[in-house]
Parts: sequence; structure tokens; C-alpha cells
Amino acid sequence: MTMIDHFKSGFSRCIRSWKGILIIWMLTLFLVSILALPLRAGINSVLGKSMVTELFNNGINIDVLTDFDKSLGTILSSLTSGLSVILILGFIMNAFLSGGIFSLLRTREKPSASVFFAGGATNFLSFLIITFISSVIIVLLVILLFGVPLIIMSAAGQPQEGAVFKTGRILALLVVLIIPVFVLIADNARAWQVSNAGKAGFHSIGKGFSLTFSNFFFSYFFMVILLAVQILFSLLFFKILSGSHPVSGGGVFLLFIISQVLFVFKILLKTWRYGSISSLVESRVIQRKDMAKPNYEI
Amino acid sequence: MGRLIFSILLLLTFTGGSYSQTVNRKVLSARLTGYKIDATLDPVAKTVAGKMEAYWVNNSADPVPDLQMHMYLNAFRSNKSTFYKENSVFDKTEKIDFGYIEINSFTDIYGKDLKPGMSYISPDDGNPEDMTVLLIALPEPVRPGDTIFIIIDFKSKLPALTHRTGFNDDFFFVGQWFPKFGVYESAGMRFATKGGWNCHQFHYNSEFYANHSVYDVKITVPKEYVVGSGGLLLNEEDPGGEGKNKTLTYRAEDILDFAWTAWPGYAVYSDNWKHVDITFLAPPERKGQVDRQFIAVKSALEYLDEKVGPYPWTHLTFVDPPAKGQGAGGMEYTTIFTSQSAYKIPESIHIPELVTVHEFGHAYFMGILASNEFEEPWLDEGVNTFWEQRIMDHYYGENSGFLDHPLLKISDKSYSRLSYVSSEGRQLVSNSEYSWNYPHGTYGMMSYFKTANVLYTLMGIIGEETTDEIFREYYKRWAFRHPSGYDFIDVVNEVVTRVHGNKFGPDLNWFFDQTLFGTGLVDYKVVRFLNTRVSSFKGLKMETDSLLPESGEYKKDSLYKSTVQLERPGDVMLPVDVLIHFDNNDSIPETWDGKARHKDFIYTGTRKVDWVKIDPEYKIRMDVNFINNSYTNSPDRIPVSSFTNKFIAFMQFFISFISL
Repeated sequence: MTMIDHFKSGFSRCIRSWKGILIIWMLTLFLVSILALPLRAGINSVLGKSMVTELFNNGINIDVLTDFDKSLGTILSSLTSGLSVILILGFIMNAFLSGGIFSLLRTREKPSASVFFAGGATNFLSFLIITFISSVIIVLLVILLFGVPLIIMSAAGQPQEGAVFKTGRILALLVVLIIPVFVLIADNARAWQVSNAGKAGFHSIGKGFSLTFSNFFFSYFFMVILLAVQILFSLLFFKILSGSHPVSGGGVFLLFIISQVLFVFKILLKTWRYGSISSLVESRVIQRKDMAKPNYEI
Repeated sequence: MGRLIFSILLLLTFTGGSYSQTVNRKVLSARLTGYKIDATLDPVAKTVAGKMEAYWVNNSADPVPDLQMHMYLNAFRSNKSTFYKENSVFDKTEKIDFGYIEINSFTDIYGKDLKPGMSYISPDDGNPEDMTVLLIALPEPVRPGDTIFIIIDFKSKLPALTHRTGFNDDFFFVGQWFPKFGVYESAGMRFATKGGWNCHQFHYNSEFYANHSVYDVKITVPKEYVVGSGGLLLNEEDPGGEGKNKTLTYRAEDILDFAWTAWPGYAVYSDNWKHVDITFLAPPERKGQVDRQFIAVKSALEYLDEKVGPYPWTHLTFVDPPAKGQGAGGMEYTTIFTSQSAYKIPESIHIPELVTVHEFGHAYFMGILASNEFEEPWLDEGVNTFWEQRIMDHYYGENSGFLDHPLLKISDKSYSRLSYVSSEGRQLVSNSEYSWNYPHGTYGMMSYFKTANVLYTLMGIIGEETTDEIFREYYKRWAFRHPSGYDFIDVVNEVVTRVHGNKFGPDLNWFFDQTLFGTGLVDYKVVRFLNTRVSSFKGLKMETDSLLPESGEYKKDSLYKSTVQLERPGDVMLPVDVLIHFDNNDSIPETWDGKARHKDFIYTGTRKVDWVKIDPEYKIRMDVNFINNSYTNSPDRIPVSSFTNKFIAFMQFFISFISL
């Protein structure tokens, strides 16, 4: 199969899994709202009946933030604590949700919420291990490849001005080129895990490595294309949101709708990536005959 | 008689150069001091060997029995100096590369040895280890009107560059490097009740005070070094052949200080503005910032020239030190100053421009209007910061003078207000303190930011035109002299009275006493407003501020008594504008003198108040709380809701991102 075939397969699997996408959207919205709604209430409480919010019409206003005084410290402190908890919960929740979505992508049955939740539960621990280890590897990679050389350069003497900056750019490029490899390993591991639920997460990671390097250049460029689409969409996402300054209640509501539609589309792109990888893994497995018969028609 | 003739001839020879107007179009100052220095840099030993001929003119009515000179570099002589003792951050046990000035010989022009009369004094704190003020007891007093000439052979050892002057590797910034006369203040000058030297020790939180002088300086450096200075380059002598050094001859007139820099890595760029030749020295890697820097300095030249007074010199040099020279960054020496930048700093971050504009501004507020930076740092730093903010917000955006990024814009004056309002030490001390007496790290906030906000508040009360008129008059009256803070306030009082009559009282001392020299806060608050339905018009007592229609019957249910309640939680009493808006779109501008703790405005009519604003244009920048300056029953929640929606979306995105 060609790359295009896998992309098409991934897309059709993705569309079939629309229920899972909606579940992911709702749960993520709920989780973030736990933090966002009290934050909004806190800010409104500080502002009271003041008209100083007119200074926000052009964006964040330092004069107003200055006048939050001690309240700003309280809000920021709560926000920081809340963010930490939300991020950890989100990370864990996404292990469950990605297990569910991978199950939907690979199932022969009609994709349903029950398949989603069953798959999420079955694969939760393995997916958590796979995602955690992959994330740790990426972070360590960034530190080793990017941070350590720069620290050594800076400490070793007085490098020519700009040398550290230029070296940093090269190292950053290197890191950017390497990260898709580890994302690919994680996706391969997860796709394989779903069809081998009895196996441990570490075993799946090993399979992820072997699937990645069995046809490396094909897989690598496959993943680069998928990630490039996601990155471009992300840039569009940020541009649209950061440039929006609604001036009416209707505008605020429209902003909410648009932002959520964009996020759903983001999940859809990610699911498409998962589906495409699943298609690629299945074709490899059929060729290698080292896996149980896939439970989805390619 | 012979000695008299000899003195006159020497004076003419020495100062003949002074009055030859080699550099400036005319003599700008009294030139009570002059320096002729031959300096040789030894980049290996990190020393500058100097031979200096200098003079001081006693223009007072006192016979002066001694001289006092600043030996600023001795502040870096040991960690027992006043400078280091006052630096709580500095580890007293740390070994650093110290700096000092050593006097090898000190004579008068007849060769009489003056060294026996030398002693170090500590007029500020009595620290016997501090050697930054040198007293020279003279064999004969300098009579009123006389001039004393001295010849000093000295060696300056430059310190490791941590505080403006010194070296780092092959980079040198040489400031405060030679023995420098203090200022003799005769009775009646500034705060002096009797004649005496005003010559303070070098403190961690202090700058400088000197007379406008003439400088003839020859600097000898290795050939590969590029030199920049506050003088005009008259000659460059390169003996050629195997000679390793070159000698540059500079002359500067009517400036307070002579500083210079040398580094082999400088690239030199030139531009000009009207009569001013501008030289910019920077690392070649920062070539991309050259245009930004020239635009910044020319904007400052244009603005100050128009609103304050002409820039009188024909030359200006500014330096963007390399990364290893950042300890020298952000400092002024009149016709040379240092900016501060970094490689590839984005154009949205206006720090290079801000530092350039600020340090150039000191050419006016310090260089021309030569206040005593030791005793009244606000008059230099604060006034200059006020002008820096006006320039930045004028040329780089009213809301983006400091930062101009699509996601966040910050004006320079907002950044300044943030620094003042958020400081916990804002009420610890007033601006009447000497610079080294500001406690707990409050020097910067008080001298720079509080003063700038005081001046913005003043401008908010009296208007921008009157403010500009004040500074034009201040420049006209005090250029190339030593004004005190009260001299500045006298100009304010005079101009405000001339323009506004008695609108603000006989003078504005009440303003400065509370804001600059007081420790109180400014805070005004709209408590609330009430619209009470009035059941019957008959027998209604007319209240002040009412706006009853002229005549007519009223329906029983259409008449309201509206009461607007204002408070002054802050201690400072300032007149403020109040804008009261009604539901039929009428607005009434009021003024409250701010003296009482509370004030009510009462209106009776068919209209109801729907919002109230104190200081609707946010001109009282010292107000520590803009949030309570307004009140409405229908607050606009849209910005916060919009922010929340974006926050939700970004958080959803980020959670999805981190889980691969």
C-alpha cells in the first residue's frame, strides 16, 4: 500500500470513530472548565462593577493587572496549582481516551461508545506506560541534544557573540527532526498494543521500535507528513484565537463555538494520524505474519 | 609679579584651547575646571597610566584652603570600601579583580609637591577604609577669582567589569578613571548656607556631580583597538612600522565627565542629525540592530530638541557593548553613553531603543541641567525617565512603547507605573533622601519610577502644554548650571501661575510636598451611586449639582434623586476630574478638589445615573488602583469571558499536545 492509501484508510477510520472524538472533546472541555470557570469568577470578583475592563479592548492591559495587587498573586497561585493538577489529570485521562480511540480505529464491529470505553479500560495501563516513557524520552532528548551543548558552550569561555544562538538553532532543528521518530514509536506501540491487549506496555514499546525501524524511511516521512499537517493546523488555531477580540456577547459566544470547533478538528487530525498509523501497522503485520489476524479489514 | 605673569600665561595657554571653541560653536558653561590628560592603556595589566594637568577656578567669594577630588575607582579597591559595604548582594569574601587609582606624584605648576597635604576623607559615613574622596591641603588658599593648576601622575587599575567601569577580557570601558574635582558650592548655591566642597563618597546607589569642563585627552592604545569616547576626535597618530600603539587625541567642551571605551571587536557606524555627528560602536554581529539604534537616538534628539531645548554639542557617541561588556551597559557620560542589547533581540521588544533613549536623555538631565545626582537622584533619573517614557510611547505606540507583540502590548509608562505601584517599599521613604539612604532596594523605584509617575500626574493636572513650557523654561534658566530640586519647583510654580493664574493655588508646593517629598498614596474611589425615585416634586429642596429642567410638571413616577458617592482612601489630596453619565446619554464633567475624605454629587431630574468615572482618562498615574475609579451597574464582562474562552481552548490544546 502506498502512503496515500494509508492516509485514506486512516481518514475513513477516523470518520467512523466520530463518537470517540466527541467523547474526547466533551471530557477535555469538562476537565479544563473545572479550572477556567472559577478563574473567570475570581477575576470578575476582583473587577467588581468597575469599568476598567474597557482597557482590555486591545488585549491584556498591564495597568489593570498591576491594580489586581495581592489578588493577582492569589489568582496566579491558584492557577498554577490548578494547572499542575489539570495537566496531570489530563495526561492520565488521555491515556484512557487514546486507548479508546485506537480500539475504535481497529475494531471490526460498529464503532460505539461501549467499544470506546471498553478499549480505553483494557489498554489504559499499557497506554499510560507507552505515553509516559515516550514523553520522558523526548524530554531527555531535548535536554541532551539541545541543552547540554549550549550549557557547555556558554560555560567554557566567551564564545563569539551569536555563536551560541546559531548553534542553538542547529540543535533545535536536529531535535525537531528526531522527535517524529519517537512519536512514531509511540503510535506504533499503541496500534500494536490494541490488538495484543494481553501484552505489557514495555513489550509494546519494544514492538514500537521494531515496527518503526523495519521500514524506517517510509515510516519516518509518513509521520513527518502527518505531523506537519497537525503543526500547520495548530499555527492556524493560534492565529485565529489570538487575533479574535469580540466586542459583544454574541461575539463571545461565537468565539467559544469557533474555538471548540477548531479543537474538535484538532482531535480529528490526531485521530486521522492514529488511524493512518494503525493502517500502516496492520499492513506491516500482515507482511510479517507475527501478529494475530487483524480485526479490521484494511 | 613674575609668578602672576607666569600664571596668566599658563592659564591662557591651558585655557586658550578652552576658549578657542574648537568643538562647540560657543562657550556653553563657566568652565570652572579643565583637564588635559595623556593616558596609556595597558591591556595586559588592565591599567591606564595617566599624566594629568588640571585647573580649578575659584569663582566664589571664599578663600579656599584645600581641594577635594573624587577618586571613584578606589571604590573597587577592596571589599571594605563604602561601595562594597553598601552592596548587600556582593559576597564580602569573594575574590574579585579589584580596581584603584594610585597617585605617583601630585604637584602644582611650580613643581611644589602637594602629596604631603593629601589625605582621604569620608564625609558621608566616616568609613576609614573608603578612599574615594581625596583632600589636598594647600600651602596657600586659593583666593577668590584665582585659578589653581595641578599636575598629577597617576595609575588607574581597572576592576573586573561589574559596575559600569572596568574590563572583561579585551573589552574596556574606562569611566570615572581619573582624579576629578568636586564642586565647590558657595553660600546660597543649591542648599549651601556657607561655602564648601560638595564631594561625596562613591556609594553603591549613587551617581555623580561635577562641573562642566574642558577635556583634552590623548589616549594611547594598541593599534588593533577601536576607541570611542565622549570627545571629538581631532587626530589619530599611528607611528607605523613596528610600533604597536596608536595615539588618539580628543577634545570635549562643556561636559561633566570624560569616558571612553576600547575593544578590538567594535564595528563603527556613522549617521547624523542636523548639526550632530553620531557615531555608534557595536559588535559586528549586531549589525541588524544599527538602524533601530539610530532611529531611537534621533527620535530622542528630535523630541527633546523640540520640547526642551537644543542639543548643544556637535558630536555624540554611543556604544552597544558586547555580551562580555554588559556590565558597562546602560550608563551616561553626556556625549558618550552605553546602550544595552543582545544578539537578535526581536523588534517587538523595545529594550535597546528604551535604553538608548533613556541614556541619551541624560545629556539633558544631568549633562546640561547638571543636578547633584548624589543628593537628588530624582531630579536626574526620575525626570529623565519621565521624558524617556514620553518619547517611547510617542514614537513606538501609545500602548506599546515597551513591548509591541501581537499577544501582549505594554506602554513604557505602564511599565513604570507597574514598578511603582507594585513595590512594597513605595511608602518607606520620600524623595528627599540622599541616594545612598534609600532602604531595602528602593533606590531604583523611588528615583526612577515614582518620580516619573509624579511628573505624569502633574502633567495630568496642569496639562501637557504647560508641562512642556515648564521644561523649556527650566532649560533656559538652568542650562549648564547646577539646579536643585527646589529650583525646578520654583520654575514649575512660576510657569503654572503665569499660564493658569491661581487655579491651583498660589503655587504647587502642596503637590510636591505630598507626592515627591511625602510618602502617602494616591487613591480615589467611586463607592456607588443611587437613583432614588422621588414621589413628589412639590417641596423638593434644591441640592447642589442638581440639573433640574427649567420648568414643567413632572409625572410622579419619573423624577429621580441621583447620589454619587466618592471617597479618597489615599492620603494624597489632588484635584481630580469626575465624569458622570446618565441613561439618556448626557454626561456631566465635574471636578473634585480631593481634599475631603468623601464627596457626594447629587442630581435631581428625570435622568438616572448609569456610570461614574474618576479620572476618566487615567491621567493620575500615581493612583494605585484604577479598578475602583469607576462604577457601573452593568459591568462589561466581555473581555474576561473572551479571555476565559481562549484560555479553555489553549488548555485543551495543550493537554492534547502533551499526551502525544
